[in-house]
Amino acid sequence: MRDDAPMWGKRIALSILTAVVVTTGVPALAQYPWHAEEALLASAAELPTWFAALERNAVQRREFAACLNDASLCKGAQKSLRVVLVKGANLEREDQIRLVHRYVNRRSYKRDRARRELSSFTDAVETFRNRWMTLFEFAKRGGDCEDYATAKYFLLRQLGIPADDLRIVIIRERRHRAYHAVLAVHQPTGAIWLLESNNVIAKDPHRGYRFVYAVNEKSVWDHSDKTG
Amino acid sequence: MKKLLVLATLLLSGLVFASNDANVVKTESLEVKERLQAIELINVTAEKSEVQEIEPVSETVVEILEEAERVEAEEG
Repeated sequence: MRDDAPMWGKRIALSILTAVVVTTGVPALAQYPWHAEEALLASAAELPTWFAALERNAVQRREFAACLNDASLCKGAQKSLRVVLVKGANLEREDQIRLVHRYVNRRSYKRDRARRELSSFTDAVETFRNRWMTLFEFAKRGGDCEDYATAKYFLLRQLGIPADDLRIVIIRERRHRAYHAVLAVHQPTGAIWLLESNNVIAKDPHRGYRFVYAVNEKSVWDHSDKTG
Repeated sequence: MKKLLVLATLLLSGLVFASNDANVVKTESLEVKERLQAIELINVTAEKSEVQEIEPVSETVVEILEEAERVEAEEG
């Protein structure tokens, strides 16, 4: 019992930190703070579940190359992915974004199931409700809001949009008291587009959004404070 | 004696500065770890809201979307 005390203390402290940092401390901003250098928290490799999805996607992308080269080798959702990637390659950047946005938003919504897994941070079994999906897992099975944002991220990357122009952003929805994900795209004009899962593209200003954190294949940004 | 005293003071100050730096680094890296852990446990659950068609798309984009839908519906 006594041995468990520090672990319980740590868990309580973490719960309080999570609650304080990601709910009350989230500032409402008029625009996504793309250039807030103080928000840069760590490299993507330090967020294990996200990094694992990046690695899986890289492997699956190599497997998908055969379908991309020869349409007769494509199966199921790979066929439509191929059309989007082959035909989308010739479009202007804004049309590529709109194509990917619409294509992904048509996929079916499927909620994540909670799972108990060993946390690499605490070395204890924790409840994880998020599962970051790859583009190919999402195309096959559908997913929930962060999977829509992630699928758009991977598709736009494959169409040649630089990682530095893309971030998956987690926001706090005050109205529904829930967390939601959008894909943020930094445009050459300096404008920032937020791609929602309902076909809306929120352009500046982004009133009503409370940004919590963001990821791409390079970094993790913490927007819970310091960026207001 | 004076030299020894000055030397000892310098050595002590150096140690104090060094230990302060070590604490700062330790605290910062711990904070980063805790924030990453808090981020990992955030439950992103918002339901997909009703699909809207307010963002216009070009004719070419519509054609590609239609083709994508058609090929996926094909057998095999």
